[in-house]
Amino acid sequence: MRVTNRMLVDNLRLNIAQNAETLADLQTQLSSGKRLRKPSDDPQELSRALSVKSSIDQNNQYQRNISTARSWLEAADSNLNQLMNLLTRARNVALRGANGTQGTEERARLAEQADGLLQEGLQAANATHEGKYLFGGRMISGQLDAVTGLVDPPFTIEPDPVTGVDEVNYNGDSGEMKREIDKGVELAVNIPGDFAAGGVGSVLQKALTTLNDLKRHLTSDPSALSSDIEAFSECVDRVSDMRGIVGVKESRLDATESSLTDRGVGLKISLSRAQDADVAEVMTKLMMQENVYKAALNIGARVIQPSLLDFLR
Amino acid sequence: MGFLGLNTALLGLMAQQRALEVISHNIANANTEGYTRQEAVMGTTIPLTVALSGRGGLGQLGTGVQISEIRQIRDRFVDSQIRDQVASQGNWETLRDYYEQVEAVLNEPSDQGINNLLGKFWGAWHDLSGDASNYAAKATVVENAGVLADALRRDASQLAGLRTGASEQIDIKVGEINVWLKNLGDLNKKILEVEVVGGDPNDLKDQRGLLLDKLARVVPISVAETQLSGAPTGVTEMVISLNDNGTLRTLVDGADSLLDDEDSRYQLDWSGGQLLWIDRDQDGDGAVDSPVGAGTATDVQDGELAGLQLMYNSMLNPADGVNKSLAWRLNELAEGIIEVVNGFHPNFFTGTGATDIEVNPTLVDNPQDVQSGDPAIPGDGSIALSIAEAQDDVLASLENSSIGDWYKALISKLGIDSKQSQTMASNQKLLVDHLTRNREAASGVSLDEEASNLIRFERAYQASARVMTVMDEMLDKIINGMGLVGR
Repeated sequence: MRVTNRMLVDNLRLNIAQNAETLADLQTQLSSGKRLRKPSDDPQELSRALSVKSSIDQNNQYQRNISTARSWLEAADSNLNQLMNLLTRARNVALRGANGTQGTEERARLAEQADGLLQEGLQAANATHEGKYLFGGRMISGQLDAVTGLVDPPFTIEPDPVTGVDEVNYNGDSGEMKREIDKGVELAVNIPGDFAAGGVGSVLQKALTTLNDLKRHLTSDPSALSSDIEAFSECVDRVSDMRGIVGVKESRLDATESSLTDRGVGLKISLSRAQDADVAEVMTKLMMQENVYKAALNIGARVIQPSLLDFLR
Repeated sequence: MGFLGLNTALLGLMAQQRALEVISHNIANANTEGYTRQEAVMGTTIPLTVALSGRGGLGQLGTGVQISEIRQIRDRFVDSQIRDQVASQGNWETLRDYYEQVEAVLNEPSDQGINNLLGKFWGAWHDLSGDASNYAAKATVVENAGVLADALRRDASQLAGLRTGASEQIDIKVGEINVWLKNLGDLNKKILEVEVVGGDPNDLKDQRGLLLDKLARVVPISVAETQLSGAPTGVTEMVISLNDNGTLRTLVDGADSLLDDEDSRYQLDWSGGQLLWIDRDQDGDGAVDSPVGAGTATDVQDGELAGLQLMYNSMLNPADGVNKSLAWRLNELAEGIIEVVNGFHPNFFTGTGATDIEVNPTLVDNPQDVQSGDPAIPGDGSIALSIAEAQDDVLASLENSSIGDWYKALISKLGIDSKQSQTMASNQKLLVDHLTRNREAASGVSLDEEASNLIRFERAYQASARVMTVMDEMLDKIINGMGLVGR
């Protein structure tokens, strides 16, 4: 085929341009560390990479959710534990009070102890975590009292409007606060203050009511103390049940977290494989390409120079 | 003897000299764009009938050489192949360049891309669901939503800008085409004028070829050369037509293509998103019609205009739901986000699509008004939780896909289209380069070849000159030497 000088030069130009383009691409890969810089670099891999990124984001979010849920549950558990202990102490007070040998004075002193225990119980039931009530259901900032204009904690003791006798009121609600701890998996993080178990009705309300009654019974109605003793035993068991539930939730969080951690590791490996440049491989290609480029320049220079006119007289 | 030999030698000298002039022209134009090498074709002059002793007593004596034509070495078939493939190259290279720009606009994968911003958006709702009355959590939701909305609006606006740019480019190219059509009509006329009287308008033909190549890159054309009736054989008329998806629409009609206002009779126009073919002289009287008739809409399938039109009418057109254009998908994404979020939290977003999606300004000013749940119950984060969980929900309005998956599909399709255009453009380039090389092989000037021809014609010139000297000596002998007896 007839070859003109122009074709030789064009050939050289085209080859150099092509080589330079490949070199530029490899260079960008190395300096950015990424194989995937725009969708057209590898459309299928990019689609996977985007999915994996979203999964990683969600995974991290679930782990954050689990962490805040755990701290809430731990605070609840600690307060329930406190409550259990003081219910046991209250039972002992009731036992001593029920002992017929106690006189009025001793019972008056026991009544003071009972009052102290009631205040501790109220404190435990109205405990807060990060400024929010643990056992108010979803009324984490308390309930506005229409009468007094003040904000009430979940449990208050007020005189009954009819009988005038002090009783324990629950001002929270029964709502559950749910977090998503894994895809499509919700966990209620709180135990509402009116949580009922084992036929006693609202456990915390019963516990506080019994503590409140103890003081009254010690001063005015010692015969009722025997039922208080039984009530305290029952409450201790029921609060223990509540702690059990908290425990179950916590272990669920642990299990989910461990699975999320494993999944997270796998996802990160996946992402890296999809979008990161294999430095060793790119380096090697770059070296090879440089050689090809040099060869093209060298040969091109040798081929385009000589012409017949050099040799004619 | 007569002066015949002298005359023959003279003719030889002149012919070789002419041939050398042609070589000189070739060498001078070795690097001219679109130049086709020329050669002087020599033929014998009409022989003389002379008396010879054998063969019936009569024979023919040659009388010399003449240049019968200076012809171009050009392969018309390769030319038409190149024009076809260049149209395809123009189309794919335009698409490739636009897709590259769109990829830059959407900027995936990156931290500023919508994929990441969506993740942060959902995350903010998650955090709010666990701390439902926390001001900082609400402010973060508003902030992240704002960033997401800004990104959607910015992308939509930049795509719209590219679309306007495409339209402007088409306008400019159509203007260029009309100028080329005028020049082609002009060239055709001049070429015919020269050919009809037997000349070889080679350089004019080269100019025409160059214009045809330029035109072919922009719109798909078809060139027909037919013998002009009544003219000597070899004189052709060239008709250039636009390929309107199979129908041919004349652009340049032989040598008669200009009207009285010195502009081409047939022109193209771009109006209302449509490429129009206009015949400015429908009654054929040579004068521009007044008013000029409305054009016919054409559907070019190849060339740069086809690529630009695809971008304008489809890819970047948010209203093109039939072809599910990129701009349409982006808009649907924004609509889906608004639908989902506002479904749980009324009036969280204002606007209807990607061009005007915004966080409700009252929420921007007062983040505490964000409803994470029942406003009377501070611990109720149920609305926030529903929104956070909605990231995995499928929407009927998004063809039963989730918001995230819809966006990923959008990016994926962009990547595939972009890659395809890159591959096709580079394939076409190889093809066009190959064909161009073929053309160059046939028509290109080879300096080595011209140099060797120089030698050839120079020697022939020298030989003819020598012959002339010999003839001269002989005549000298006859004229000055004969009949002089004893001198």
